[in-house]
Parts: sequence; C-alpha cells; structure tokens
Amino acid sequence: MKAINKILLAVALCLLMEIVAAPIKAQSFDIQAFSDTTKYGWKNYLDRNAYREDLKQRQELLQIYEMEAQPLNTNILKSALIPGWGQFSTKESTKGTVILGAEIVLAGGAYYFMDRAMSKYRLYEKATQVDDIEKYYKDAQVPYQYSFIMIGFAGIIWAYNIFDVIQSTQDYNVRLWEEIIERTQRGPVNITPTGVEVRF
Amino acid sequence: MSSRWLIVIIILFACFFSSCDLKRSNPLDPNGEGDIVIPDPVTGISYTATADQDLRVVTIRWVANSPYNTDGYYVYRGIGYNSSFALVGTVTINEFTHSSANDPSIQPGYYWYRVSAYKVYPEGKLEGRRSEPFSVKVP
Repeated sequence: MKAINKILLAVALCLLMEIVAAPIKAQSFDIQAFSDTTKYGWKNYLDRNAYREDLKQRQELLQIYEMEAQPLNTNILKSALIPGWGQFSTKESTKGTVILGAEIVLAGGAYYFMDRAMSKYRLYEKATQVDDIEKYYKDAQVPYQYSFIMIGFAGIIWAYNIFDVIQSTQDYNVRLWEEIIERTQRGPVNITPTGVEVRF
Repeated sequence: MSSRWLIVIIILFACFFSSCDLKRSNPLDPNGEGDIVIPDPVTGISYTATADQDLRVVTIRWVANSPYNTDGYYVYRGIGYNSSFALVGTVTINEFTHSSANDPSIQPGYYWYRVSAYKVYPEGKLEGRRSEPFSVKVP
C-alpha cells in the first residue's frame, strides 16, 4: 500500500513540474531571431547606414529640443509664485494676462473689502450702544464675507492656473518638436510669407 | 469634469466662505458670549420748559426702568430731528433738568431731545436704544 502511495506521489510531482516548467520551455532563447538583422528592416549595409544617419539626425534634433523645451516643473513653480507666468513662458500671453489680471483684481478686491471690514470691526469693538454694536458688526460682516469669497475665487483660479500650465507646457513642447522637425526639413533658402529666409 | 459639477463646487465654495463670521469680541455685545442684558428703551417721556428773565429751564421726565436692566440714563440734545445729538447729561433717576445756569447754549427756540438707559458692567456701560427725538420749545 505504501509503495502505491509513493508511486502516486511521484507521478503527481512529475505532472506538477511539467505544468510549471511548460511556459519556461516555451520561452526559451531563440538565437536565430536575436541575430536576424533583417528584423529592423535592413536588407543590406546601406540600409543600416541610412538608419544610423536617421538616428543620428534625430538625436541632434532631440538635443535642440531639450535646449528649447520648457521644463514642466519650472513652469509649475513660476505659475505657483506668480499666476500666469508659466503661461507667458509657453507663449500663451492672452491666457497668462487673463489669469494674472483676474488674480490681481481678486486679490486687490479681497484686500479692499478686508480693510473696510476691519475698519468697521474696530468701531464695533469700541461701541457701547446696542444699535451701534449691531450696526457696526453688520457693516463689518458684509465686506468680510465678500473678501473671503474673493479669496476663494482667487484660490480656484490659482488652482486652475496650475492645472492649465501643465497642459500649456505639454502642448508647447509638442508644438516645439513639430516645429523643430519642420525647421530642419526646410532647405537653407526658403521663401516665406514675409520674404526670403536664408539660414547659415 | 462637467460644467455642472464645476458650478456646484463654486456654489458650495461661495456658501462656505460666506458663512465665515467675524468673532463677536465686544464684551458688551448682547449677542456675544457674555451674560449681557440690554437696558429697556425709555418710555413715557414728558417735559416742561420755562423761562424766567435770563434763566431758561427744560425739565424732562420719564417712566423709570427696572433696576435689573438699568443703572442710569443718558440725555441727548440736537437742533433737528435728523441732526446729530450731543450728550447733555447723565442721571441715575428718571428726571433731568437742563438749565441755562449750567449750560449757556440754551437759548429761546426749538430743540430736540433723546433719552436712553444704560447698564453698568465691569467692561463698561452698555447703552440701550435711544428714544425717538422729541421737540421742546424753549420760550
């Protein structure tokens, strides 16, 4: 009985090993496929040389791109410090102006209303007559709430400005890459809508 | 994010910020945290005005408030109903005498008076609502 059990166990182990090892066997290293140079589309030495030239050119373009591209983190930092600054860097001046203008108006309005509220609040703190106490408190409360609403909207615009500068920077960099490719594809002498362009 | 959600967020945001209240830090504020009682308005006001040669006297009386909410009274005078009023006297009883012997500004003509009650607290005197202005003709 014990012998039968041992045989069954051995068979089960073999089956288990077969199941586990099957995918490993299927993914065995294919030296033929690895050494096949035609897989890149090169039919001969000239093709390979042409590919190398193309790669070299793209690397040069990439270097230009890296020099001219806008770094995302820097733009986020710029827009966090001064809303709209990042948009100006990505040549989106209209958007930058609107964001910066809105922030200035909202921050200025918030300061104005807070100043008015505080001047009324000081009167409230000194008042000793019930009508004056109530009047000054209400007079202070209204501009105080306006001020907070404006601070809130300024916060919303600031958050949108950060969100927008990420997209603007990405769009700018995509446009820049396309522009660099277009620039290099043109010859040294080009006729443009503004005149004749000669590049040295 | 749809524009509907954006509008909802902005409205919630505006409601949150508009609900921010200033602290009622005035210790005499009846709506503050202190146990403050507002003095009752002064009612039942009557007056007499007399003139005897150069001496002109205006006497004002009213119904005394409960001592629970009143420790004294302020009397104000102005030259018109909507004019500014200046404090001319402070009394602890329900009668005030305004005499040219003490105040040479009392000349023949019309004056307007207002009266209010006050309650003394450790933080100061809390003045109640002032009465409607009433005119007094000084002969």
